[in-house]
Amino acid sequence: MNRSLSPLVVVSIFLASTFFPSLRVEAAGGDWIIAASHPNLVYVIDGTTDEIVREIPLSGPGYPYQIAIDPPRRRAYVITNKWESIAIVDLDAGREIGTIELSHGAERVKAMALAVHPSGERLYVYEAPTRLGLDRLEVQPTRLEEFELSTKKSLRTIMMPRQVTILAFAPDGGKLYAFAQDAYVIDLQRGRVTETIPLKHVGITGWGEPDILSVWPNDEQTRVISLVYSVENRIKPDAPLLGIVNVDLATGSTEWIELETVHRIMFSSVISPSRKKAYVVYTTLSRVDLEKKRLERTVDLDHTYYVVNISSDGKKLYIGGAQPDIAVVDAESLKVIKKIKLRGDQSIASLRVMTIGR
Amino acid sequence: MKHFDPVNEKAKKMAASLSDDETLDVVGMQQPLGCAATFDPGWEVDPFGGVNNLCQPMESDLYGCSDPCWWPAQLPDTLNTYPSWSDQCAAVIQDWRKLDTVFPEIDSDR
Repeated sequence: MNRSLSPLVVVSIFLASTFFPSLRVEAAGGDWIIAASHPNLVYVIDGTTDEIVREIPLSGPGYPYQIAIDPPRRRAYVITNKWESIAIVDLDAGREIGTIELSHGAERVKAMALAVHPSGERLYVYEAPTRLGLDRLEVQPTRLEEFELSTKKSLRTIMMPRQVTILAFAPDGGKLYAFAQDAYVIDLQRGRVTETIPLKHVGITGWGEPDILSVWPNDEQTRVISLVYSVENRIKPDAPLLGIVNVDLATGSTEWIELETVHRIMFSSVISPSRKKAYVVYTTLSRVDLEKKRLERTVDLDHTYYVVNISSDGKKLYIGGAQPDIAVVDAESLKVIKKIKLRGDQSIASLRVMTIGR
Repeated sequence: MKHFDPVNEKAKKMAASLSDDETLDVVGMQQPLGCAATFDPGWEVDPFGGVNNLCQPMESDLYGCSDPCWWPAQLPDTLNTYPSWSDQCAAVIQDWRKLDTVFPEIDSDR
């Protein structure tokens, strides 16, 4: 991003940023990195300085899990409190401004995924309910619950297949994707699943059924969900395969890219804004050339990280999850350029990149 | 099951749910997030029979696995039964000594 500012503007920004931290971030443009940790904290990290500018305690026992972001309104929606409530966070003001409780009476509801509609008006939560009887627990059908954010009222529920762990909207908000063993397309107008995108049941010749770990939504820059898979190789059984499958949320198309014979684990993957590279992380960090469809470079990391995300200019990676630190990595050299220390373990909480003005 | 006679209502329901020629389907869950049995090796051993591909160091993985109840047998269920288990230990690497073992409660009236 080319930023040429006159000296007067620079002085104005300096004075404003001294007294109004939120204005500093806005004037410089760029990204906010949204993270969460034990016990029950949400962080806003300025993507220009890679410093924490907001540390936001959430009410309740914790611990935060998945985060959905609403960039135009600078809000985050966080699954927390035994995964039975959604915290609504004003990232600019740096505080929790509301809560949606999911469990009521004898029904205990765990939220496994959530997504906010691009309009900012509706929130969708994938729920696993259980009815608590006197002498038994009865698992109820899983469902999608739709909330009107202006009132926090539940509008409807839609029955859903089990095991969904990521919800993601198409760029125009017309379709909602749900990632489980396969992926499902939900037509919100008709209020039902209208399409299945095979993942586990992709049926590629010579393959078993791919095992895919989809926990960390990180499609902000490209609207592509990239997931790591491992699969039995029926042609050469002693050489199971590992790769990434990229699902384009604009079209629903999938691209399977085989990376290597499985000899190590990879957890999550992100696509660069240029769509020419992918980055995959666990205890190593790898860059994938998406044009040549092969691994390009791999480096060892100092400890395991669960999730990788990328800046809007594609120059920096943010790798987090597990421990209480986020590593800022140069996307070209794959060298760690900074560590951001949090107050507690991130566990499997999301790591999102919100671009100001987008 | 054919050698056992159900006595109470729950046992009768269990017996009725199975017939001699009925086959139970057992399917390995691909993503056993949430409290459920998992066939993923987990902490003891990695998919290759060793330990090198477990999360490093092992403390990195403690909450990542206990939070979604990945190991229902090895760690307290903090989603439901023991929500306060890790209250004194926000960062496992630093404060793991503050994590206690838990024991099932025994009804003293029995």
